[in-house]
Amino acid sequence: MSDDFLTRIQSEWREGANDVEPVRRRVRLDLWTARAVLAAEMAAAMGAFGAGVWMARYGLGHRDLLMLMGAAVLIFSLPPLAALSFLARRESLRWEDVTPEGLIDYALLRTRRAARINVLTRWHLYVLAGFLAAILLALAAGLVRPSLFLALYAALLVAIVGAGLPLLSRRARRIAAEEARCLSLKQQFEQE
Amino acid sequence: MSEHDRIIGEYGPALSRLARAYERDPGLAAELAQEMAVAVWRALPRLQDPDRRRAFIFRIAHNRAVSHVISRVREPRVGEVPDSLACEQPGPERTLLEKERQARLAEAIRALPLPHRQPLVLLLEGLSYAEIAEALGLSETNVGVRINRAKQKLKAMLEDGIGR
Repeated sequence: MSDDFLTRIQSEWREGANDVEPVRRRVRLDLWTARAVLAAEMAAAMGAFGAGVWMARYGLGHRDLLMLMGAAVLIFSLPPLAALSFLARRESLRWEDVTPEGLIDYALLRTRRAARINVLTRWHLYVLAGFLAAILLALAAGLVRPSLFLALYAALLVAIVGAGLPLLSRRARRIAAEEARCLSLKQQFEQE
Repeated sequence: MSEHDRIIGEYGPALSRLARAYERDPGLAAELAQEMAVAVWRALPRLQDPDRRRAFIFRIAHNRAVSHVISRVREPRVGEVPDSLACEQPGPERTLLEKERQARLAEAIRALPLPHRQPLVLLLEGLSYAEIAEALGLSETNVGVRINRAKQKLKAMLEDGIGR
């Protein structure tokens, strides 16, 4: 670097932040965490598969349909879920070595997907709220008889809708802020 | 010494400085440096040419920092007294002045637009134009242009008092 200005700021820049011990500790911890998560996933998948096989044999031997259905759930859901989770982690790493502009494009795509999922989830909650209103109307009109099950079910729906809508609103604001930052960064690159 | 200890020993200080170029809060900057190191460590098996390791590592680290910028809640504000100075214990005047100068420089670098900040920081870390071009996916000419613009902006900011 022959430029005096750059030489001066380079020496100032490189004087600080030399404590690497926290960084070293974090990487070491991450190594163990990643191994522990993988081991736990494999153990859960193998355990589920083993239990599923045992339940299937029992179900066949005793002609127990419920056992057979439980076996099918264990065999066909948990092991593929563990594999999907492993693949998703690998896929999320794939974007780390693209160019910064590529990364921003990807982040923009991701925020827009997240926004769409957020809207869909909000509509699901509206459907649940509509269902709750229908139950209450049916009760008020005397079309159904009040029961403990209905009361618990209605309370559960109130809790889901009541907690879900504010959470989704907060998430929507966060997604919008992220999208705005992505667009601002993209604009900075486009101006170059 | 294990492989990860060696790499952290070699690149850890640079990652910590790089984090300061993106995050003003010292605690969050330390956290970001750790996240960068983890991302680098996880990405290393994908490195195909060991001769290009330095550019590869800095690309991963910068991308992690860009993700941090995208998802962070608070935008950096230029001209405030940095937190690292606000909570600094009174010490010898010279050390304090040096720390203040470093903090002001970091503040000015953070105020640069991303396309200028990235190549400049890599240059300050001692990467060649070719390595910077590879890390950021640019041509060497483009790197030169961006560094020149970054230098002009940084000079102007430091002269306006952000770095003094």
